[in-house]
Amino acid sequence: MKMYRTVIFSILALGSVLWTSAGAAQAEPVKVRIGYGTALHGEVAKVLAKSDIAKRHGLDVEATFFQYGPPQIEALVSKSIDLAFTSLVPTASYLAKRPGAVVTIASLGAAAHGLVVPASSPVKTLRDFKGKTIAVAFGTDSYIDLLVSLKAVGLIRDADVKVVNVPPNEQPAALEQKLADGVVLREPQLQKFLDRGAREIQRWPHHLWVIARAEFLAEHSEIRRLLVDALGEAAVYVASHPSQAAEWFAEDLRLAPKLVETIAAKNPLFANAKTPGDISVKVPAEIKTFASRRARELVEFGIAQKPPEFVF
Amino acid sequence: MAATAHEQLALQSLRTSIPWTRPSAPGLGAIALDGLSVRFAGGRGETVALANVDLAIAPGEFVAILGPSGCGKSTLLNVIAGFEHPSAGRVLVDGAPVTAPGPERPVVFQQHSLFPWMTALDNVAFGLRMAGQASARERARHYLGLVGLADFHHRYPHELSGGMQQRVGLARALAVEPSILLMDEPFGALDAQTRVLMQEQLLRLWEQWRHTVVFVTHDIDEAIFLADRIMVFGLLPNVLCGAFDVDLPRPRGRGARASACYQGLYDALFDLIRQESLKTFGAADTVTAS
Amino acid sequence: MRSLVRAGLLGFLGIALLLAAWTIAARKLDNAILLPPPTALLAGLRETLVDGTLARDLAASLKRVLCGFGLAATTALALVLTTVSFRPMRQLVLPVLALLRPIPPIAWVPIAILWFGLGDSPSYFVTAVAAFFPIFINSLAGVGTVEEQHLRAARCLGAGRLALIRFVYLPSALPNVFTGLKVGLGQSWMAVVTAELIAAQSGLGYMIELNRLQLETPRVLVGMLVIAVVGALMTLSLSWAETLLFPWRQQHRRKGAIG
Repeated sequence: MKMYRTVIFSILALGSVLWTSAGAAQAEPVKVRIGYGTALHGEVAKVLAKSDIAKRHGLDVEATFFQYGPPQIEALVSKSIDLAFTSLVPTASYLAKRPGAVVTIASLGAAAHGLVVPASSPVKTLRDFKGKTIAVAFGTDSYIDLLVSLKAVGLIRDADVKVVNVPPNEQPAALEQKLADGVVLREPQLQKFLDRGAREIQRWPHHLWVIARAEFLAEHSEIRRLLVDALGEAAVYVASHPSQAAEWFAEDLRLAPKLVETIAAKNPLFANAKTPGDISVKVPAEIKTFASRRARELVEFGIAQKPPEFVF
Repeated sequence: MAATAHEQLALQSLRTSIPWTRPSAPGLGAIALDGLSVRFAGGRGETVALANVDLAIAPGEFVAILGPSGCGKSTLLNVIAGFEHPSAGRVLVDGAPVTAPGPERPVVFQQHSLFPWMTALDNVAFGLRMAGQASARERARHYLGLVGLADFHHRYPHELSGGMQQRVGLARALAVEPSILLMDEPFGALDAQTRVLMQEQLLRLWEQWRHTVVFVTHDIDEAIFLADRIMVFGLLPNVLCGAFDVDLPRPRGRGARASACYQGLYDALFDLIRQESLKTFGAADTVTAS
Repeated sequence: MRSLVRAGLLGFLGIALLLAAWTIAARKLDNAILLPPPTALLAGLRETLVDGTLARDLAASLKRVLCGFGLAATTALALVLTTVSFRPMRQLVLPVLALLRPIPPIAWVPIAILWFGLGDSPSYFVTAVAAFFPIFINSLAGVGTVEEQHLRAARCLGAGRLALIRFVYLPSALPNVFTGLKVGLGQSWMAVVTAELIAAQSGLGYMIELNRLQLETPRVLVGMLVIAVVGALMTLSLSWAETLLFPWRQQHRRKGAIG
């Protein structure tokens, strides 16, 4: 009798375990609304949206294209998106106002942004911009990088150099119409204009990462792990199917896929990996260090009152 | 009715400061209409506003133009004024044809003809300014005084009653010292009491001045009280269908209305006008006179 | 007197209720980026007044509006005069204007930037475009409202063509011209803010855009508030000037004249 009870209980226990785990496997995929912009990690976002990677990790991805970081932050504030493919400065702007609002869950390498001038320009170095105008998108990493570099050569904004706000959509026009003496462009637009004959004065790396709403992460227990795994797999996909990924992304950018592919190849995330297995989206220590520095720079240039605290 | 103290004072000041002269040499202000016809092209063919009018008005005569609505009285005035042109025939003033409006023949309109953006004084001074007169405003002040509105010189038309506006309009026309005064139902929009007062004032002024007056009205009482002669215009066709001399002695006061001569004239005019008016009413719509 | 006091009290009460509701909502939302409490707005107002940025941006916007408006007014009035005087001009100009009119000022911003570059110039253009059509259309209509009676009265008192224009046409049209100027100024004001959102480096629109990028919602609201208040003041002062300049146009509202 005792043995029968044990067997029946075991079968029931096993059955319920199987039942719940099966149920878990067939559970509703979690809806994730992601925002991405013209920065190069948009490729990864497109891969998530277009391939079945997300589905296999139990995620139902809905992707929205934004011009750049700041509008994505607004979308996070209004809870229209849950995940944003952005960079440090937009994230810091949000955290300065609402500490702990977003969490950095993945790092996707770096692209670049650069200060360019028309081919015919007399400007040769950063110092030559004294008394001139530079167009840059305010509220982004390119803005802070520019201010830091200007300060390093002894140029103060407004006093020595006029720095005007031109969002990425208007930047090509600003350069072509010579509306400013120099424009800070981001990849892949940067390469496009360099190919057309514009001259680069200075270049900075553009660190790319992914942030998620803290509230969103709290709502679903396993979601962070699922997201990081999905992002990792998507990054591997970009490394192993560079043309397809470039084609998907280039469509949004209205650029030639070949151009996107060339620049994506330069991303240290992919370039430094010998095999796809080497690709990790975990936020490395150097980025965290850089983030602290960036937080101080924001205070230095009056964007924040006190250094914002990044959450990893 | 005697002039008010105010007006007496105004007349006095006028006499002493500005030599009182007849505005133009005597004998000016004759109007002749010779076979005048006025036709308007309309949506449904032509309308004949006036048909073949022959009329002669002597200088200094006060003529009333009477008739039912639509008989062309206003058109007649407009043609003499120069606002409209004859389709056939001629309008002559002192032998010369009328081609355009001018200050020899100003018009006093029924209402809303004062310039609302000018004060009463500036309205009256307007014609003088157009003539290039120096001290136009000073002269205008006197004319405003003549109609008893000296104290209202700074008021705008919208601040004046209907009667006062008409007095300003009259002063404005008199200020240019015309040989002919044209008046298009000038008291038609006023209440009965004001109308009577205005008629009396008009006569007082005219008797000093004696310019030719062509006075359009639909009011028989008004016509008899004011005019030397009454011309009645009919309907369909719009022709001159009666001319009546008014044999009442001047100056005319309230008593004039009671006289037998007045009554007889009134009845004659009434019947004639009624007869013409009935032409536009269907016979079955009217109550036959007993 | 009592009704005035009561009206004042009720108005005050309305605003107080709004502020109370706002404070409660802000507290519940607890998100200074979405809805800052009124106190944050006031703090932002004080800060921008003290550091002079509000005055500077307001002055920049006003300067652009007045310049663009002035440009529009002179162009529109000159065009009206020529259109009225010469028939072929009318037939030439009106169809073109009818075609351009439906384009909202904001749609002109991109091309203004291309033609005039960054800075003040595109704003002058956009504010001028915004003001031009109301001024032109109202002024033209004003010329049409002249009363036949006034023309006749003037003519039979000896007025020639020039005198008619100066003493009858112009004063008759002036109230409508003024209406056009009033509406045009309001349109200019709205247009300058939208132009500044994109093209400028100073001004209230720029202030809003800059603070938006930094998620400084209190200052965004300060910008909006100043835009609203200044816009209202402009309209009110012009309406008041209108009643002073053209008292005869209010006559249907008056209780009755003396006499």
